[in-house]
Amino acid sequence: MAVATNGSGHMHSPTGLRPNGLSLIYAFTMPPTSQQKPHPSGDNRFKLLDRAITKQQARGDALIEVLHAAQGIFGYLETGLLIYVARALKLPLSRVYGVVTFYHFFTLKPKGEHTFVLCTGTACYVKGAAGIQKTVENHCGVKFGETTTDNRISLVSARCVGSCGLAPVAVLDNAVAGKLNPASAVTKIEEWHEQTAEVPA
Amino acid sequence: MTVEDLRELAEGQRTREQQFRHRVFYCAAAGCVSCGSSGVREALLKAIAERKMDKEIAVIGTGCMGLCGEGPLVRVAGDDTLYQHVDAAVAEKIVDRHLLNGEKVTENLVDTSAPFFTAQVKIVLENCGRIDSESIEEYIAVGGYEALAKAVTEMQPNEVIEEIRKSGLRGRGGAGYPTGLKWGIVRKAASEQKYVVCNADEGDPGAFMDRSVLEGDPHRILEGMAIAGYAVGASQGFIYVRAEYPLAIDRLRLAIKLAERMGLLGNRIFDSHFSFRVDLRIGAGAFVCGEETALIRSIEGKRGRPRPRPPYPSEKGLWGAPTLINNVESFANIPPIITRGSGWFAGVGTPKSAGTKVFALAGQIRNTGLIEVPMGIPLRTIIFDIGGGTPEGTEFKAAQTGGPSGGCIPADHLDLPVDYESLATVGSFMGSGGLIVMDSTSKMVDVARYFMQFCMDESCGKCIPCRVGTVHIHGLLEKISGGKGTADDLALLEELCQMVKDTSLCGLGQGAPNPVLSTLRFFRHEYTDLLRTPEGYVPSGDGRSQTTNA
Repeated sequence: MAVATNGSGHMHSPTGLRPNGLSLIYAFTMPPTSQQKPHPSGDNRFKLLDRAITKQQARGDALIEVLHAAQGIFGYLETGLLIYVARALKLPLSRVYGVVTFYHFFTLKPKGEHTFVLCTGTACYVKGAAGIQKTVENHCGVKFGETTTDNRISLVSARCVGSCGLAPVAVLDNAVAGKLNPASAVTKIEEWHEQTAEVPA
Repeated sequence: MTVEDLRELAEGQRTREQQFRHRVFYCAAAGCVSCGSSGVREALLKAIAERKMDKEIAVIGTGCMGLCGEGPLVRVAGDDTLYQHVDAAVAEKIVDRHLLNGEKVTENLVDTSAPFFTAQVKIVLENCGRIDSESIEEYIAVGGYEALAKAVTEMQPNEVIEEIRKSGLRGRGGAGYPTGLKWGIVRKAASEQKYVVCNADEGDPGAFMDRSVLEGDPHRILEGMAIAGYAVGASQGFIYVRAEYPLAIDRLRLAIKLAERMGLLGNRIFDSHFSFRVDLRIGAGAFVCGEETALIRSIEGKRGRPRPRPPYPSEKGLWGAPTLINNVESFANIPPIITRGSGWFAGVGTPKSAGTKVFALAGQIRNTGLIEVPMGIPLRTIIFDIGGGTPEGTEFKAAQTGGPSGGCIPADHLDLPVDYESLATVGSFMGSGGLIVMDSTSKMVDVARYFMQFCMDESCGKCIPCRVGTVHIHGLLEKISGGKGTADDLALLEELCQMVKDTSLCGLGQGAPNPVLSTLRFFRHEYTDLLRTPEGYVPSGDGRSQTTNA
């Protein structure tokens, strides 16, 4: 019974976050300080994050805004980063972790080099997004929601990207491609392979 | 800024606009951008610069022009010509033939006398596709912020609320609660601090109305919110936008900045004692946050989980203060009601559902895009006249409204007038305005399963009927669509649906069984055809063969 009503994590697997050893991480993730000097952590991306936190006056209710900023700067939210945010906003880590795992937009794992976001909204569904999904999964060898083993391509499914007039739609690295079919979707993915093949040569 | 300053600014902008020989608009909304409208802009600018016409022709990006399936779209103001499928070559032709010689490029001309255009009535979308959404001056030139000026300088808050109440405007988020009544409750609530929240968390798959308004006419939302703030006595507004709409977020940010710079938001608006600020809050991809109590939680930076009502947000909302929450489209209706009067608005639509409704037409239909129609228009007119019917060789089967909480409306009910009450009689729901057309290729059991999967994934997990019920309903639908279901499973499915509908905490759970119940009501044979009897009986396919275990 206690398990069933456990508020924060019933839909997601726990990642083994334990309070042990946190003090060590705290030492490396100090709260926001002066803007001029290099950041004490040695990673100047934290300066950008500090600026975002200061802009929100380090208010706890700006947690989602700060997490958006953090994910925008670092690409994904690793545990140390969550601890940093929790400290800066004076929130319990459980609260930060709870919010991160509640919203689909936040990710705890790094994304692949390229992202293929397939819209699975109703209009795209009616126009055959399921067929595209199957073909792309077969082509990449992973399911949607996963990243290929070589870290090249992340397959993501989206609820609705709001371009229903062009259904079925996918968003390839922030560029919307409309009126797709299984073959043209695979062609688009192949283009990524060609691009990366050209760069080293 | 005073009212005189506003009028002067509008006059100045109108004069500036008239100095151009031509004003060319290209659609810069998400649909057209994704099929290459920024290339069209460059091509137009290049062609115009080469012909040394850049002093005489203005090129302007606008919000959605409506006909999203035929983009990129370009409109030439003055004679109001609309071009479809514009690429760089066509753009050059438009400059050479139309702008320089006055003859239209017939190959790409859109017939604006078609029912798609003539059957629409535009109130919410009147500026979409006609003004530069990134310019506050253009909005002011078409009468923008006049309503705010009128409300703040000439009307008492009670008069504003009375005007909205008399107009008969009902909440456009789906449930249709009378807007004036809601405003009155927030006004009466005794509190120093009150808030106005715009719900722009348009999560229904297949719906892009709010996005188009936010991208095409962001100042109108700000104006509507400011009027609401004046009426209910709030000095702070929040717009909660979903993170999936980056373009809308950018345009809103810019709009807020420009309005603040002009003094149309901020302290002492129009030299009155009324102050109002608006902040943006970005969602993070949770469908349940469209529910008002969950949305409040999310603005407070918490997990977006609903809570039981009452107390309603109009009494206890953000940080415990009385909070007015309206949808984007509701706010967009406010300025015209104030400037043109409640009598005019009440005259549009039906007596019980006044005004217009914006729909996003998508799916198996010829004219996909954004439309605005008067309430009470028959569904048939929307789908066959405005939408042009299903593509050649396919037959209309059902129209789905209301997203994952709505229902499917079959061909027999096509003459149903589109208003809040009529849609409810067939087990559907107005919803925020997604209208998806399905043809004979869509299998209704799969459609129901699709929506149930959506609700199952999006359930926040707080109440058990929704958390557990949706999983079981989805499992039963999988079983039936895989041909392994029995009549008992079907009976259990119906029982579960009723239970989840009756006992869930919020709208997500209460609405989740609707797609199943409505497809069962109108397409029951599609379920029974898939059933097997315990002996392994395979139905003969005549549709309604022996299906019960009597």
